Amino acid sequence: MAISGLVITLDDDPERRRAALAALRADERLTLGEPTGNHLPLIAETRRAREGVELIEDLFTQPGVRFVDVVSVDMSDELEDGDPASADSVGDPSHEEG
Amino acid sequence: MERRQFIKNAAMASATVAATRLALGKDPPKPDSLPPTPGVTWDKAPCRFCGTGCHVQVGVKNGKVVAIAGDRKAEVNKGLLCVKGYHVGLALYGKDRLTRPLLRKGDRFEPIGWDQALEIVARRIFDDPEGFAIYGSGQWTIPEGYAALKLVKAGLGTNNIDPNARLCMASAVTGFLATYGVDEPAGCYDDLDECDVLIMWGNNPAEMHPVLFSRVIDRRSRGEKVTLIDIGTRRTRTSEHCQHHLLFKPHTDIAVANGILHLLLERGTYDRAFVEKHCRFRADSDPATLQGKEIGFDEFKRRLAEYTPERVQQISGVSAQDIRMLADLFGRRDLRITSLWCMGPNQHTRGTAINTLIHAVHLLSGHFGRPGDAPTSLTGQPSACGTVREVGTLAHALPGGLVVSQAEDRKKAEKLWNLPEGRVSGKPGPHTVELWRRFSTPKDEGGTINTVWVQVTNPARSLPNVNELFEPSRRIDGKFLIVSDVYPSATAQAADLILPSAMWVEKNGMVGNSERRTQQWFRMVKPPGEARDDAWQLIAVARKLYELGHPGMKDKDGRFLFAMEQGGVEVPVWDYRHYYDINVDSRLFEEYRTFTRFKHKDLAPYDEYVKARGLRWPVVEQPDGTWRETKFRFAGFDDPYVKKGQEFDFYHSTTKDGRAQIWFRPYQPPPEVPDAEYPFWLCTGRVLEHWHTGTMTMRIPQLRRAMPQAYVELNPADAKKLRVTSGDLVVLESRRGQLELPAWIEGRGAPPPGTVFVPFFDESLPINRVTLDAHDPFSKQPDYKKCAVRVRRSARRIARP
Repeated sequence: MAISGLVITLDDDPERRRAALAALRADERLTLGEPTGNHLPLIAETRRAREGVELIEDLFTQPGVRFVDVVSVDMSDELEDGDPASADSVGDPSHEEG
Repeated sequence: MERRQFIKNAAMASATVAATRLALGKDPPKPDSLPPTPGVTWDKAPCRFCGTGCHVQVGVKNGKVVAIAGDRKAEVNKGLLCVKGYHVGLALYGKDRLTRPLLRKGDRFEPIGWDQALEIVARRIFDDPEGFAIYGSGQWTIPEGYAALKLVKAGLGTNNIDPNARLCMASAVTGFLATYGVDEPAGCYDDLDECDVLIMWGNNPAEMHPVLFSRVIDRRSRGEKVTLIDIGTRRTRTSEHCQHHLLFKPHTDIAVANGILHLLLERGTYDRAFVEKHCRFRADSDPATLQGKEIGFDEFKRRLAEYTPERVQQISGVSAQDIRMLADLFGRRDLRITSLWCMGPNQHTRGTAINTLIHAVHLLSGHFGRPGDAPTSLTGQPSACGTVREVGTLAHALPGGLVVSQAEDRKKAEKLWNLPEGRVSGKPGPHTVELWRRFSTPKDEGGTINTVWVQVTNPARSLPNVNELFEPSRRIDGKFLIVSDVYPSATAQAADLILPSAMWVEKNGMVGNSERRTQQWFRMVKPPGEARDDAWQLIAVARKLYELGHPGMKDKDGRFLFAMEQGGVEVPVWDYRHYYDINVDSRLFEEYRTFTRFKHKDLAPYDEYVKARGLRWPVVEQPDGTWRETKFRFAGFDDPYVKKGQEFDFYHSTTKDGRAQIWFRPYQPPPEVPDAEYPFWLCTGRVLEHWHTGTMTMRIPQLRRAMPQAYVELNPADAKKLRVTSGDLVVLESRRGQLELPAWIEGRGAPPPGTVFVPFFDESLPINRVTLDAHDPFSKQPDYKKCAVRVRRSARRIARP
């Protein structure tokens, strides 16, 4: 499990802003904090850190979201589960990428 | 409290602090410290990817990177990161990390020991030093680049070294040199916080430098008025945020700049006082040289007379009204204007010309030298400035802005390196395109480069026209390719010998970002298997050469070129078991630092960078023993090298009178234009998800899933004519090569009719089989942004990516 801290910059338009907030609240991976002005702090929990990357990309395309900044990502749980790839793996050019 | 809840609370606390800072433009009353995650130790490092220079805090647990946080103490990113920064820790852990030296045996690679690998490299060099070249990059750390440069220039006595940065910012360098007599921007990122108008010349920072772009977007969110203008050849994510999107025909940005200059003169709205006091005028000489020839103001004005708004509209497609709008803005003294550019003006056969013209627009209008008034080029790699431009890992350069063609500069280098007189060659080595051409040409046909050692780059995919510049070398007997890399890139797979490298926080490092900021970090985790530092590889090969008896590996007192002592005893740093007995980075940096004072690029001692989140040079010691960085060069209020009492002083002026040069550069058509046979313009570039040729980012599964393969962006009208819909395979063909790839219509970017765009991140779909290797006459930087192609629907079909 990976936990990320993010800041979303919301649109100025109240209608689009409301729609964005509704969509963000409906996403069970997200926990929203208290916005300051247009800036909304939130945390994202994803099964893998790599899924967090995709989530951020999705947030960028959400109507009413103007920008997404990353503040932190913690994937210590994930590494304790044995992923990502072991740093001891032996690579060679015939090896398919992971 | 449960550990998981603890981490969540810490993440929310950090995000709340960042949100408050973004909303208010300042720190909240009680900024908290980094999340104290149990069992995790934190240290600072700059991000591995682009040239912005964001600082991250890296969390390490049990020998692995387990957490990343934006560094709140970093002025560049103020605690924030982009989506690439999010996964920077994961870039270490792709499953196919290279972990052992591998030697080609026919179609296979066999693991060998390091000693044998070093012996092979040293023998190739020893037997044919003139035929050996190093090809590096702006991803070399400063000490790595310095070690490579010293091995070649001080040791082998050749100048056969060039970096991939030749392909990305060489024209910015020649632009700065021709205008100010010295490289790198006068301003810094602080300008983004102060400008009223931000103009992006062929630049897409929303995707390529997102943290910098968000700095401006956040100002708007706080209610500040900032006008954003995008001058480009296709619509991008940046365009969506801009009040003005000016679409120009490829190559005609030169006409647009001339149109602004013309109107400033015609209307008399240029800054006469600034120009009379601080500038001179220049134009191309015959034969053409980087310094050109002086012309007077009247001659300058006369030459620009033809660039009326209507004429510029005819050439560029930008409306006369928009040209007037730009001239109106530059003609106002009450506004502060910052220009940003990156690959658009640089990857241009007239790259030096358009770079000097952007400077000219700012100088003529006096929009220079006040916070918010600056022409600032950005770089794409983490140390394109620090390692390439400042250390000087270029075929013509020496450290600190010195050049090999000047006898005086060579003497300075020989003195600092304690070399016998004449060791440093005055003959510049081959620039990137020429180096690879010589490597891909048989020896008896003039192909004088026989062994190339590549570090930290992927020329098999990033060189232009690879069918001609790279591929032939793999079929010519006697050509030997050595590749130091982290992953089996396309270049590594084509190599004769592969050396596994450590990356990022697996080694000590220093880099320099786009705003002259030098940054430092310490090794935090060990590299996998037998992967080792690139700087160690260079020093170990130098030692092998020393043992073989190469005379260049000794200074004039007979000491090894990379001799390092502790307590009067030599430390055998060429033996990896002892490499970390001392801080080799610190030793190399302190040696390099002595060069930086010649051109007022002063760097502080290594330990100052340990304490800071980077410092912008010149960094000058104060009477109280502290070190002060410089944000705004050439401006009397901030730059310590400006003569007392002067408002501005261009103290490296090419005319030696403290003045900058305003250039006239005529519009000239590009070397290849669409015609009946090849009717489309091809532009290449990057995408948000991937960095460079994708060797790191394509190993992050989610990024790869988000953008799994290259595509060709087509305008809907062109697609209709070609009977192509999104996902259809099309054949893209130039006079040099062809490629089949899927079409994407109305995707992220929107090219105008007659133009197509292809990203270069996908190693399996190498667009550089199609591109042109024509390059700027001064910078030698190739033009990846335009060549002529034809497009047809393929007989085969595939699903949409």
